[in-house]
Amino acid sequence: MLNVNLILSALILVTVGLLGVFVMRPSLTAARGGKVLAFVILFLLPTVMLWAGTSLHLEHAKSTEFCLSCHVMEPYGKSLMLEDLGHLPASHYQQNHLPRDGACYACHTSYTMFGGVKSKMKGLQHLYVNYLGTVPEKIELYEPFRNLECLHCHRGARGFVEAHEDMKGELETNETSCLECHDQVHSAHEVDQLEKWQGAAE
Amino acid sequence: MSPVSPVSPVSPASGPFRARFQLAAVLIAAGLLLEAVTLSWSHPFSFMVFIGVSGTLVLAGVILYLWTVVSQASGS
Repeated sequence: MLNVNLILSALILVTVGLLGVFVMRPSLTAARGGKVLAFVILFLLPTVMLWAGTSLHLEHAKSTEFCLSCHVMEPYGKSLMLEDLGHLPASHYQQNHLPRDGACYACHTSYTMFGGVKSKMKGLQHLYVNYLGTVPEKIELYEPFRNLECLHCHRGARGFVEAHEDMKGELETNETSCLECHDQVHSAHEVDQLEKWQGAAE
Repeated sequence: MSPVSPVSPVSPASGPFRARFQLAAVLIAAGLLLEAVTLSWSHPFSFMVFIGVSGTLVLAGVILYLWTVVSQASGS
C-alpha cells in the first residue's frame, strides 16, 4: 500500500526543488508562463500541502501510540494490558472490541455532529497543558463520561440488549451511567501493582 | 519588432521585489521541509512543531509572496 506520508514528503521535495530554481533565477517570472508557475509553486502547492499536512497530523493524533507518547499517559497505556478483564479499557483493547491503533480515540471522542472537531480542540488543549502549562496531579475528564460513547457501538448488539433490557431507557437518556455498574476503568493510580496480560506483545 | 526584455520592470526579478520574492520562496521551502520532517514522527511534539513553526513559516512565505505580487500590480 502506498504510504500517504511518503507521497506528501516526495511532493514537498519536488516543490522545494522548484522553489530553489525560482530563488536562483527569479528572472523566470518575467514571462507570463513563469508568473503562472510562480503562483502555483509559491501559493497553490504550499497551501495544499499545508492542508494535507494538517489532515495527516490530525489523523496521526488519533493513534494510541500518539496519546501514550506523553509521559503523563503512561499509566493509562499500562491499564490496557491489565490481566483482569473486569477493567473496561483492558477488556475492550485485549479482545479487539475497538481498533487497537485507535483505542483511546474510540472511547474518548464524542459521537455527535461536531464531536470530532470538539475532540481535536480538546486534544490541542492537552498539548498546550502538557508542553506549556501545568499538568494536574490527578487527571480527570472534562465532563462525566456519557453513555452515548458506549452506545455508539453497543446499541443493538445482542449481548447488550439481552443484558440491559430493563434499563434501556435510563441508559439512552444518560439517567444511569454505564460506569455505575462497569466501574473498573483505568485504575491509573494502582496500575503498577496490578497483574498484566503478557499475550499481546506487538 | 523589438525583442522583449527578459526582465520586466515590475517583475519580482527586479528592483525591490526580488529580495521579497526570494525571501518568500526560502520561507516556504523551510516550512515545507520542516513539515516533511514532522510527518515522519507521530508524536505530540512533532505536531506542535508543525503547527507552531512549519505552518507559520509557510503562511508567512505565502503572505509575503502575495504581498509582493499585489505591490507589483499597484506599482505598475
